[in-house]
Amino acid sequence: MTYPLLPVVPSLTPVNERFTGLRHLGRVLSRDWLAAFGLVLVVLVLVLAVFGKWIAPHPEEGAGLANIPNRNLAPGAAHWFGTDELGRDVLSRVIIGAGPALSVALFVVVAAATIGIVLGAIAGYRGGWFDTVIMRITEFFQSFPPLLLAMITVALLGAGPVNVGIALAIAWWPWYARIVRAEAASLRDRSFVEAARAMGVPTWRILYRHILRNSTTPILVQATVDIGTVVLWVGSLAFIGLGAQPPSPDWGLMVQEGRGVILNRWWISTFPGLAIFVTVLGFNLIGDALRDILDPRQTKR
Amino acid sequence: MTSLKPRAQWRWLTAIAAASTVLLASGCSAAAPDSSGPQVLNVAASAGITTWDPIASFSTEALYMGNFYEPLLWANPADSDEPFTPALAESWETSEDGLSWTFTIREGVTFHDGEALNAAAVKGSLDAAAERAGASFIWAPLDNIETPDEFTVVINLAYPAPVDLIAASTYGAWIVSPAALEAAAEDDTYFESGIEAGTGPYSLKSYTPGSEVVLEKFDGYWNDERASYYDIVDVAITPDAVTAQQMLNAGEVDLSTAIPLETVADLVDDPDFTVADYNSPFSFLAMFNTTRAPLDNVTVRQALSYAIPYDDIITVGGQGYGTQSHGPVPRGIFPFSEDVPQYEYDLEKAADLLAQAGHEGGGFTLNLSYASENLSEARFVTLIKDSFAKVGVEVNIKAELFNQQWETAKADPATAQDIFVLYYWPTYSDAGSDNMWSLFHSSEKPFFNLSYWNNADYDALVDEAGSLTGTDKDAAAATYQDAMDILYDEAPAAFLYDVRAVSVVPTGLEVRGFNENYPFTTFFNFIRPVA
Repeated sequence: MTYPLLPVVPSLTPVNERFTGLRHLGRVLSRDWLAAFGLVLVVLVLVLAVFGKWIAPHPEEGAGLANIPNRNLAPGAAHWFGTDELGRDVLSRVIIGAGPALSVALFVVVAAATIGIVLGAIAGYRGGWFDTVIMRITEFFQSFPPLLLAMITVALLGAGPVNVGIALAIAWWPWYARIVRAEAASLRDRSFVEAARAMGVPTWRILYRHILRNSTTPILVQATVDIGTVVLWVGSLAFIGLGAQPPSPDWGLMVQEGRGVILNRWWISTFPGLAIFVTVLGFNLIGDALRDILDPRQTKR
Repeated sequence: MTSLKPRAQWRWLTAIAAASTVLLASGCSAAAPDSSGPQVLNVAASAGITTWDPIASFSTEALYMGNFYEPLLWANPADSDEPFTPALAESWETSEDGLSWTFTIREGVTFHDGEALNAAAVKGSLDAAAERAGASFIWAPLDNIETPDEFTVVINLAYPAPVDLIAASTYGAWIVSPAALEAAAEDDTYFESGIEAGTGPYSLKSYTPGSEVVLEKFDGYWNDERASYYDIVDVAITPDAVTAQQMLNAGEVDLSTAIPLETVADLVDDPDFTVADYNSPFSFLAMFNTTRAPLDNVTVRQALSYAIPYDDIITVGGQGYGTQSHGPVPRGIFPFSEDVPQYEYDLEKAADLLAQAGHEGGGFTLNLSYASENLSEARFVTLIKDSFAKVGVEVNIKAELFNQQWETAKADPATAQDIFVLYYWPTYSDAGSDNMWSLFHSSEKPFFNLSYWNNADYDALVDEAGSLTGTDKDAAAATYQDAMDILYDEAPAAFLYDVRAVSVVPTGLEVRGFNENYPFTTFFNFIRPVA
């Protein structure tokens, strides 16, 4: 019977949970058909986003080139999703649109998470006035309806996909900051963190190894769900004319372009709308599944 | 030579979207004539009310105003025998120098509030219009108004102007009861609860802000020729065209003043509807920034004028309801002339001219701005981009709300856009003093002359034509045409298309008197069931 000499890090930090998580994944997917379905949708959208140019039957029309003789064709063998007011193949528009939709969403989530994680971790770990200031700022941001905040920012910066990305990142980072801050504040005074501090581990290293790694789960779940939501919001902003501009193949813009004729030529709005729906659904299902896998506190469905 | 010509101070922003909608459209279920009880017409209209004050009115409420109020004269559609129909004036004449206009006022007309129409009432209304109307600038030439007797009004001008056209304007020319004007002078919100005091075929029965306007037939109306059939017109304010279309389909309304232009194509072959199109005062143009390279070069501007796919733009922007413009004057509006030459779509010629100008194969980039709320522009600007690309000219499209687009353009020509896509119409039916002057006459600070163009010959011709309009319309038109020939040669703008107004009427209803001079007004007194 030996007594452990250096019980420095008790099993409070499940550092390698990600690996058990991965092993988990197969089991969860085979049990949870919804998660599997979500994964299929997300993979489909990802494939379209990356290989869209080669998949789309009319990539140049997808990017915006008009083809007047083909205006307003109903869905059929030649054009599965029909054509729009400018004679462009709606299927190609939807496929080419996946790339910009996902890249803006990724940018927003990565940017928001980066800002939020850095500020949240420092705020939670240091506490004191810095914590107070950051938290008041996040409350200030969160007390605005986020879409309204994004609209105001875009109105100030000018419409366009890049500005929409910036605006949404600005509206979004406080959520990440609060998640990380909560974790950091609860871990700050735990014995393993104190021990690390006592051993002279530099602050950034403590933040990275002990605080951040323990925040991975909620951040990852949040980010996955957010990608879907951001796709929806980018579409919303484009719908009201603040996002991508014609002739960009933006899904929200396409819904808007077909809105006036929704009763007569339903396909122009419906298919890009479905694309948004599928993407949001896919990422939400995956987000739920990730939570089940990664969060041991959450009871299984 | 300086000019005192009026200029539009403010433009009706919401109307910009009107280009994409039909001006009058009706549903499949016309109210079946029912001999018992009052005849009711249910209408969905896109137009809201920004003010009920007929003097201040300069916006969407124009849809209703022409039913409550009347001007001295109505301007007639372009193909009529006479240019005007007398309304509250019985007759009128002008002095030889065009500076004095004498109107004989109709006797026996009463306002809805019981006041009698006389010369003093006319003077009161026009003085108020010149002083505080939203469109008061149309009365800029006015010097004073005299009333030598009870039914004679003499309008004296500071410089010659077509008072007949001005008096027939949709804005700033309604004749209003003197009692109401007095009340409004005391309290400037007097009209806003839903009060009107005109002489027209309908009176305002009730108004629920943002949702409903109910018009009631005025029994004491003087003019049998414009008398109304329906006793009650119940208007549901419905800004969204798709909602209006659903209400039509569901039979909730008999008529909609606006359905999406895109849906007209589906109704043309429908036996339940009659689709007709008319002249309108609306046109689209693309104004080139003539202050800096490469568009300061007239050959480049000509080249680009050849590189615009006019027919496709009409097909996409106007759903085919449009005609390529002959200069800045819309078809049917004075001083339109088919003799003004047009550029045709010819990419080879465009490429040749570019090469001549030292831009072989293009190789430059232009920034184009348009009003994002204008659905027609949003569609067709893409075609300009596609087409210019074929001659090596790259176009960056920038969508902005009109006000923003306009502010940027007015601020500094040196940093402004290269191409300004503009949807324009004259405030009253004189596109000489409006379109030709406002869009291309030089000025110290840009306003609507967004080509920033400066041509002394052109300025002189337009100034001369303007002072001729009141006395000799033919001579004025000829002078304007010379000016438009300069516009063709110098190409400070590409003239895209004149909008055709479309009306869709169900077989059960009859709508007469469509008039391009009053494009924002729906005259409910002209609607009746087919006999």
